[in-house]
Amino acid sequence: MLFNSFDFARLVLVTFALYYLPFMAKRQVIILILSSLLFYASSQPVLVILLVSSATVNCLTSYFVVHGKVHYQKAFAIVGVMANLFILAFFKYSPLVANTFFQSSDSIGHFLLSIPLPVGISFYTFQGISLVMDVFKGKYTSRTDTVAHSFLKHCRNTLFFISFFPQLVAGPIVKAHEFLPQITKKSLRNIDWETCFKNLVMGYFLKMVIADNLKDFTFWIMYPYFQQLSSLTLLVMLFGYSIQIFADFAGYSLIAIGIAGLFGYQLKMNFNFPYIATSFSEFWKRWHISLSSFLKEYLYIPLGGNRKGPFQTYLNLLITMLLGGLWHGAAWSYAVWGCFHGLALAIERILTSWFTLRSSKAVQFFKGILIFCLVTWAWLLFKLPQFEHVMAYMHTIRSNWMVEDHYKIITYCLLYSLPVIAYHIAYLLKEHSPLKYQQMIRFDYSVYGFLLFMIFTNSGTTGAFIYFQF
Amino acid sequence: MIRKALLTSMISITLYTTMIVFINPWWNTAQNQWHQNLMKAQEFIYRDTPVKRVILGSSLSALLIMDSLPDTKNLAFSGQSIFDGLEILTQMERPPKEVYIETNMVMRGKNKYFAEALSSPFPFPIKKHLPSLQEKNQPLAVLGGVVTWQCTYKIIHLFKTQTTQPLTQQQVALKEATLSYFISQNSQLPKPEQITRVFTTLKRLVRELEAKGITISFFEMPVHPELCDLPCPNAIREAFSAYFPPSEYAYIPLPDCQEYTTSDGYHLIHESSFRYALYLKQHIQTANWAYKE
Repeated sequence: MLFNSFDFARLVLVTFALYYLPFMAKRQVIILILSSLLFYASSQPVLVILLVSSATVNCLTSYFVVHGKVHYQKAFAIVGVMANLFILAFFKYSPLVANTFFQSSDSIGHFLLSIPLPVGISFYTFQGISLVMDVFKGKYTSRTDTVAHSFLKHCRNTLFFISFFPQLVAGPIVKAHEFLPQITKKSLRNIDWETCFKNLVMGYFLKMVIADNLKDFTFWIMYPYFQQLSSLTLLVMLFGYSIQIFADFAGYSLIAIGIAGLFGYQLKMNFNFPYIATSFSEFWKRWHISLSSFLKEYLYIPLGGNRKGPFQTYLNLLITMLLGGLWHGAAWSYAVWGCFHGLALAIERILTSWFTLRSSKAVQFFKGILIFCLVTWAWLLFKLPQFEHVMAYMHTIRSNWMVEDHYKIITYCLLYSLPVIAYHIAYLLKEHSPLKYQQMIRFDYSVYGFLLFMIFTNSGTTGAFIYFQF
Repeated sequence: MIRKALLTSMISITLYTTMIVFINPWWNTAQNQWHQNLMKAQEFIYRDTPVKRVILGSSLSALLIMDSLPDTKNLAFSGQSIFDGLEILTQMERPPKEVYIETNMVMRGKNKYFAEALSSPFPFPIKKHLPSLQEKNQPLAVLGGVVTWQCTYKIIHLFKTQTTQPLTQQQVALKEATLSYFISQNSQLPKPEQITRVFTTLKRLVRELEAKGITISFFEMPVHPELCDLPCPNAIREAFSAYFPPSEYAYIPLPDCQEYTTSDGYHLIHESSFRYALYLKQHIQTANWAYKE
């Protein structure tokens, strides 16, 4: 069930109506759990069992971490984390293991390839890990605040936390210490309508107008079609894909945040204008913030972070980004993509420890362009999962300068990218000229009105969100 | 703020609709193949005048030069199949009298998103009466149509002289590889169960159209000579004969493929497309082909 489908609109409306009925006030969480299970079942009915099983494992282990015998608490935490990792590895990486080590005709290979990939598994297993780790460490909130004394209440809260439908299939990844304390009775008058409206309009605009239209042009990045296109067309398509992937995922996140807001839950921002980043470390503080902060908190820091000397820091960065890359998909190209970012972060750290560039506007501008180009180049590994196709794409860019350009692809890729560029420029204006921005913001209704107009008149054909596959 | 934003969007839609009615963009606003298909289907569905004859097919027939075929609408969709066109026709209240179905790409199934995209996000009646909501009038499509030729083309030509270049070695190799790929694909027989599934569906849809009084005829587009007589097209021809016997259905005979030139093995170049359109016209008009009652 896609966020831009009528089925989804119906689900949200019915859930919303029931949720705020006065006599349903005590059953709000149950209503959201049922809607979430219905939402999940609409695409993969059988795999609801897996979702519930995952929630059960997390519920049991987190409960016993807090309320079990003291000397078994660590063991329960380890069991909880390992169970989540096992579920993720078994369902997500079996095809990778099969393709790498077995023939598809082997019985083992055939079995591994036949394992279905449950939608959103990478997201809800990470949330499960967050629950177990948070209650074990007790770093953020009191353990008993997070895990209720009543086992049934904790079961209900855990299933709700794992399955909450706005962020179930593609995030933002919500951490237990951020979400569980929010489970209280909600009322209509506490809804921040304006923020929800802005998030929803911007989210749907990015998804339906930008990403869904760009996908019909960036489709030609596919092998072997790109070999017939000119170098300029290939470069513009790659630029378009970079904008598309941002619009698609940032759009999804904003819709998720907007819908969660309607039910009284605040999800943290997942994208903070990532393409203005002037370094890789800044990029990862702005792109898919919920994943990068998860990896930092639950992987990079436990590995030692930057506390064990420069070499270990670089190694930790590489390991974290390699695993982060593999988290995106069960193909070696994602590992290469992760390695690229890990290496880039490490090299950047080395370079900045050696010398510092003047922070003039021109230098910042060129650094921003350089980072954008490198990040965009790396997205090619997302679009073309086979490494030899990536190399063929690069080779074709080098060799097809004399081939006739595809004017339509070039024009429309740039036209559909313009709003995203304007979106980033508006943010820069806010940072550097707050007065001008304040003057402009008085007319923000006209911007959102225009975005609505574009959603009505210029939406592309519905396509699945790119991050659903992860 | 929310009320003001909603009001702004309503005013924008009203103003844009007025502008579209007055300007009625005459330039090509198709953004890409998919968009072109949607526009073609919508134009066909929303037209007020009845159509006598319709051609259904894939990109092979979509390239036909229609100037040579009066009273005929081309409902062939590039990258898609005859089933998308058939689905539209079966739901028409005023169907055409004759339908010509291309046989080449029959094994390609219907696109499950196409019918949905035609009535999304607004249903047909709203789209019909509010031209600003139709695909061909999308604001960026209208703007892009102008920008493509007034800006992109000129800017690129400032930096780069683009004359018709002879094919590079790589392009020649690519063309040969493409043809070899098509030959290898067509050398394999389609699975019998696949043939049964496709032709059973086709038979059902053809029956539905016949029940509406439509005459059905079949034609095969000429392709590269090396692709003409391979196991796959031969199996498709046999299946057509079995499910739609020539004693009951009209077939326009396949002309000599040697007389036609393609760009990639499948798609006719402009001159050949014009030639085949004339060939079709001749057979339709004189009805001297094997039409058996």
